[in-house]
Amino acid sequence: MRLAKLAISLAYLLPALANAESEIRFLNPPGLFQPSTFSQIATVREGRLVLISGQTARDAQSSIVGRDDMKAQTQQVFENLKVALAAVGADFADVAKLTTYVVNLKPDDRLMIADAIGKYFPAGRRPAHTLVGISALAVEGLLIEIEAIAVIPD
Amino acid sequence: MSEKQFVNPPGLKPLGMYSNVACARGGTLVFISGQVATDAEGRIVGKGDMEAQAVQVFENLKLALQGVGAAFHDVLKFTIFIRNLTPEARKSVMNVRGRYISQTRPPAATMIGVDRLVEEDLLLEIEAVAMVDDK
Repeated sequence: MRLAKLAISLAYLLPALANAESEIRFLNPPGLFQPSTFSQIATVREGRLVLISGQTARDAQSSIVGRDDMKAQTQQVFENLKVALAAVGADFADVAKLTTYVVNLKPDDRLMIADAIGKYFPAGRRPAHTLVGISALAVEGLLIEIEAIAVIPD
Repeated sequence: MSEKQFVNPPGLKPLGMYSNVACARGGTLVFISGQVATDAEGRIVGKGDMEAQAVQVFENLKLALQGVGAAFHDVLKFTIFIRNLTPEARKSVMNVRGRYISQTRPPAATMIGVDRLVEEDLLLEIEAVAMVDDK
């Protein structure tokens, strides 16, 4: 009887413990190609929604870091995303989706972004991702902008 | 009652009036389609005039928000697409936006320059994510 009760309370507790870690489940369903740098699907059932404005390669003084250098700009964007996430107690593992905008998108840009994702996101927790080539960003000299949707425990 | 939080953390200087981070819980999530400068009959308003088009876009966003019992203070984030994005175009749009949103709790934002929008004469399009209180 006592054992049965323990089993029941464990059954309730375990999902709760799993949720305390993350509100997001990532999925790559059969029938879609199996990417290593993003997830085809992220699902969220509850939690606090976090929307991060498009981050660009500007430092705290608002100067552009890495002019004409896509790799340096990408690195700065991820560092800014880290600061924005940390401000609300989140980190990269809490990100459900990224949208990346690149000025005059070239094939090499995708590899640089994939490198950064590999560095900042744990394997198996790579968010859903949309990559868009565009004609310009808000300020001349910026090459890449990334916005994020995250979910943290409520 | 939904609860919203708008944050500009130290180390991230916003380029204009917006918050780098917006958080929300406890309400219904609302996605507003990209609004353009068309009137109720679908005619383009303010051809060649970025500021006039921006006003029409924000009036349309207001109608869209009202349609679900929401208002501008419920908006968490805008995505702003501008054709031929120049500093002047950016300033015009930000000026108009400033008249509609809270100055102390501005929503998050992403601004993008695009080659063209769905119709040749459209100069900007703005979509929004909001959270409205559950009834």
